[in-house]
Order: sequence, then structure tokens, then C-alpha cells
Amino acid sequence: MNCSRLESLLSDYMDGLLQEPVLQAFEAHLNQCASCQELLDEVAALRAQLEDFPVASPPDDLAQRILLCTSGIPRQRSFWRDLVLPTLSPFMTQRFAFATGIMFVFLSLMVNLLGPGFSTLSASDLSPSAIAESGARIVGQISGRWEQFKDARAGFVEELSLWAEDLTGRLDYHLITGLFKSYQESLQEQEEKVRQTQEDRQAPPQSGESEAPQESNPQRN
Amino acid sequence: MRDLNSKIYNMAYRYTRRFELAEELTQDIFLKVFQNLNSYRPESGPLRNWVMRVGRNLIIDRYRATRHEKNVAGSEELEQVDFHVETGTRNPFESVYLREKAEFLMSGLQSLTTELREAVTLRDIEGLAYLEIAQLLEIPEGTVKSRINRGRIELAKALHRRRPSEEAYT
Repeated sequence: MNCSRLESLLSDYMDGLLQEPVLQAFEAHLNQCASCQELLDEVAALRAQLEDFPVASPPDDLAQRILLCTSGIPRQRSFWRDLVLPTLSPFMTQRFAFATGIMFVFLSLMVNLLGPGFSTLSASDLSPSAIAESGARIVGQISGRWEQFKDARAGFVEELSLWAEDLTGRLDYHLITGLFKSYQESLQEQEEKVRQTQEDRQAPPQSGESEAPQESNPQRN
Repeated sequence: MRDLNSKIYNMAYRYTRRFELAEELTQDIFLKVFQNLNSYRPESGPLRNWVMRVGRNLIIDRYRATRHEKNVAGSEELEQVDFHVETGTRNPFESVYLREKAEFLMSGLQSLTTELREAVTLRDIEGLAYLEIAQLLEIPEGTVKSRINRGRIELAKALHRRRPSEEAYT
């Protein structure tokens, strides 16, 4: 008998359905395992609580309403109960109230940032013409800022293209200059070599050396 | 009828967790009972038991399809309803304590899966026999016992995690 096996037999034990030798093994494990004993005590207490589950009292008029809907008498329609309450009930929830609160805070923040400050707000600011005027002013501010942004963007793009062009030009100059220089140097080297070769060919013979070649003397011993 | 009204109402509340839905469901159950009264046979048992069976069938059929939806009662709803215990005399000063106790047990039941919650509720709260539960849920009796056992253990552990102190069960 282990804890897992004991758990599977818990309800049977509480209902008195276990028999020997399973019952003996069950109780033996219970005596040795504190956590299983604690679990048994908790489940037993829980059963007692569930059997004595608190009962909610239904509304006083519920029985009357039930008798009325089962009596066959046509129900009298009520504007408030049949139309207004069903329409408003989806909005009378915590979730909707929370969302409405968040929306209100957001709108207040936006009006405070874009519109007149609440401390300076007066009744005349809330007239339709004042609202239309401030709306047109806000639109004008936004479009003006947009034009400024477009101009700044165009100027930045132009500067960027000039800089790129300048950079390209500089690169081209250095590249070509470098190439030309290396070509010049190699040309000079070539010329130097040719000159050296010509000079070597034209150089006079050195002194102490006979011009005619000597014949060999057979009597010379 | 008032006694049945209270039983059906509480059974509906345990499934819906909203008192206004429980009211509507209670009316629907009694309407169905009234419409099907001709099908009641006295030899099958007391009328009271038959009415409860009709109610449970309607609740299970209607709410089994929506088991994945969470129905969380707002705290303001609980304050409008008076709680008491069926045994013993009514004590109005205990209503607040009993309301908290009911909410505590309901929160534990809500943490179980639908199958385990159904089994534990039918057995330990409504007092049905294993065979009755098996017939109602259309599952074998062995499965009923297994679910009840598992449900009790998980419920006890869940409530212990929520409030481990001894005062939870006093």
C-alpha cells in the first residue's frame, strides 16, 4: 500500500466499503504516513461542509412569477422590465464599467494635451461654435506641423544626396589619381630601363686589352 | 412548492454562479415541469425527486455546451442574497459568514474540471446515490465513484491551498 493507492481507496474507506485484507493494509499505511492521515481528515471535513452547504434564499416574488408563468394567464408586459433592463444589462457589468473608466481617462488626457486646459475651461468653451473653432484650430496645428515635417524631410534628403555626390566625387578623384600615379611610375621605370640598356651598348672598351687577337707560337716553350 | 423552489434555485445557482441567471433558470425548469407533468409516473418515485431530475437534466443539457465559458459572479451580487443553512434554525447574523463560506466552497469547486465538479456536487451536496448519478450522467457507476473520489481529493487540496489555516473548516 502506497500513498497513490491509498488515495484511490479514500472514498471507499469513508463509505465503509473496504474489506480485509485491503482494509488492514489501508489502516497500516495511514498509521505510518502523516500526509495521508492529514488528507483523510481534510476530505472528511470537506464532505461535512458540502453536506451542510449554505443555501441562498430565492427572491420573495420568484414563486409568484413561476406560478404566473405556469398559470396560462398572459403575462403583462412591462416597458422597464421587458425592454429597458434587457437592453441595459450587458452594460451593467464590472468589465464594462472598467473599460468606460479607462476610456474616460484616455479622453481626458487627450483633451488636456490637445485642447484647452481644464483649469482655464469655461462654459463658453463648451458651446458648439467654440468646439468647432477649437477643432479647426487643432486640425490647422496638426496640418502645419505636418507641412513643417515634410519640408524638413525634403531638406534632409537633399543634403543627404549632395553629401553622397560629394563623397562619390572624392572617391572617384582619389581612385583616378592613384591609378594615374601608379601608371606614371611604371612608365618612368620602363624608360629608365631602356636608357640604361642603351648606355650599356654605347660604352667604350676598357684600357690594357689588345685589339687583335694573338696567334699561338709553336716555338715557344 | 416553496421548498422545491429553494432547492431548484440553489441547484441553478451552483451551475450558473449568477443569481439573475439562476432565477431565469428556475423559472424555465418549473415551466418544463409544468409542460411535462403528464409524463410523471408515481411508481417511479416521489414527485419531488422527479422534479429535481427534470431540473438537473435541463441544467446539464444547457450548460454542458458552455462549459468552457467562465461565469464569475460579481461581488455585489452576493450581498443582495441572504444565505442560511437548511439544518437548524435560521440565524440572520450568520448570513455574512455563510455567504463567505459558500463563496469559498464555490471557488474550490470552480477549480475542478466539469466532470469532477458535477460528480462531487451531485453526491455530496445534492445527496444522490451512485446509481442515480450514473443514470443521470449516462456513465458507468465505477466511473462515477472514481470521479467522486478524485474530485473530493482535488477539492480538498485546492481549498487547503487557498486557506491552509484550521479556521477554514470551522
